[in-house]
Amino acid sequence: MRAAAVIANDTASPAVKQLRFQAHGRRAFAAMGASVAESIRRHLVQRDLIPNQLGGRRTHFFSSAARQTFWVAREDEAEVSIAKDGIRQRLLGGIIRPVRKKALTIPVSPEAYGRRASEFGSELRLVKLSGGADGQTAGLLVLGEGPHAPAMYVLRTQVHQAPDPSVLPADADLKAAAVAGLEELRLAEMP
Amino acid sequence: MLSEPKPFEEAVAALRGRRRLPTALGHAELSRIGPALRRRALILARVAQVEILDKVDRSMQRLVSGASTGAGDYTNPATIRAELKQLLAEIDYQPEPDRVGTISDLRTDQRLNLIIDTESKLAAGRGQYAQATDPDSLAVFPCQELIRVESREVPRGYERRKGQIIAREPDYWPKRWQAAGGQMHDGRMIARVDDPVWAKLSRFGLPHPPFDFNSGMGIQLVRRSEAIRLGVIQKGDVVVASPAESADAIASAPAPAVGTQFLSALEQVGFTLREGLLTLA
Repeated sequence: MRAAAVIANDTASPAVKQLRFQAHGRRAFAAMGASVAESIRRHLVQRDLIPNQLGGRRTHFFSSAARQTFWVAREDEAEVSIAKDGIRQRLLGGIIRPVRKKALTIPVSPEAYGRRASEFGSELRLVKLSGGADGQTAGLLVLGEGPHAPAMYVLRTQVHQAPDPSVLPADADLKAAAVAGLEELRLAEMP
Repeated sequence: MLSEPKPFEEAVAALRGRRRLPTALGHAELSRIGPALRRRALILARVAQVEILDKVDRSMQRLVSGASTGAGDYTNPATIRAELKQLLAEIDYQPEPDRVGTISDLRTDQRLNLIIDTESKLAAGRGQYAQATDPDSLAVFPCQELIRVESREVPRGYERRKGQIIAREPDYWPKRWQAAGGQMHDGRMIARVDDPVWAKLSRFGLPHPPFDFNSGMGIQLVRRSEAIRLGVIQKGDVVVASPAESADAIASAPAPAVGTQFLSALEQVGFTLREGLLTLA
């Protein structure tokens, strides 16, 4: 699911309202929207520099989210969206349940990170488990035969993802970006 | 505040209505097709099966729009790669015998990743370019900077030797930038958004990222006040996008699937459609 934020007249800070005496309508909201979107893009690019926990192949999720960040401006508001599947889930957290399959496949090996279990073909073998400590672990998918075959995925009937507000810049930074957009617009309009 | 999200319309528009052109030609031959034509067609080197092109095209639209049915059913490069592999198995795809396991072999992760990465980045880049060339955005951000936006294990200018990453030409991008006509400003690769350097820098001849296959380089916008301070523009300078590159022009581009004009443009650069396949005339 994607995420979006709106800058509107009724949510504008006093600093924005002050600057908006000089710039109006779509042009003002475009300046704010473009500036907020760029602030989010830069934040996401920085987030992308953090390696994934398993140290496997990089999926560059956050860099991709930066590319998919855009703004739309109208006469009375601007909207900034991130058209990236999964970004809203990371931001707000919540329970994830399997949709088409019986279990979620959670990678536990660098080799499995960024790969679907189906891509291993018939190399993966199911080891059934009886629920685990929280009753939500259905089993393991291990690579190859034998008792020491390495686990690639844990099968879970659901997972709870904690919210991560650091996915986006702080509200204060976004407001500052909106103000900066208006200040740059004022500079552009100076004779 | 959070609201109901929307697809990135300018990026999705870059993919909409493209003509799918099967071909047995390789990358070197296809590189003769210019950016204007490439933008209007989906052509993948040595992919002659229309069902593969259909699947790639539809998958890219899903990926770029960010559509999903919710948590646990995401569209991402891995899901698309798995779906493409399933299709290849279903149609019993076989590469040319002398190309098994190479970058030409669609069954390899390397090739599928390249297709997904390049196609999705071109669409997003097109969308970002449409946003950056909005006149009100240009007033605020008249310039942009070439920066690294994704890490690479072995970036251009480096090579892996005996397990070590060795710098061969660490200033590869600044050199390429300057060779394309770009100037350095305080050691940074910054130019006006409408500067021809962007298209000259690109392997694809386009004024937006990606600038090359598997490239981790991208852009960030530069504020007017900073661009003036660095001397990239002067106070009062107005940066204007060409009408052909405006967001409106991109959104209203005619569907290319039915165009004798499109085919004759292809013929002018030495190609023809023979029994549905794009070939050299």
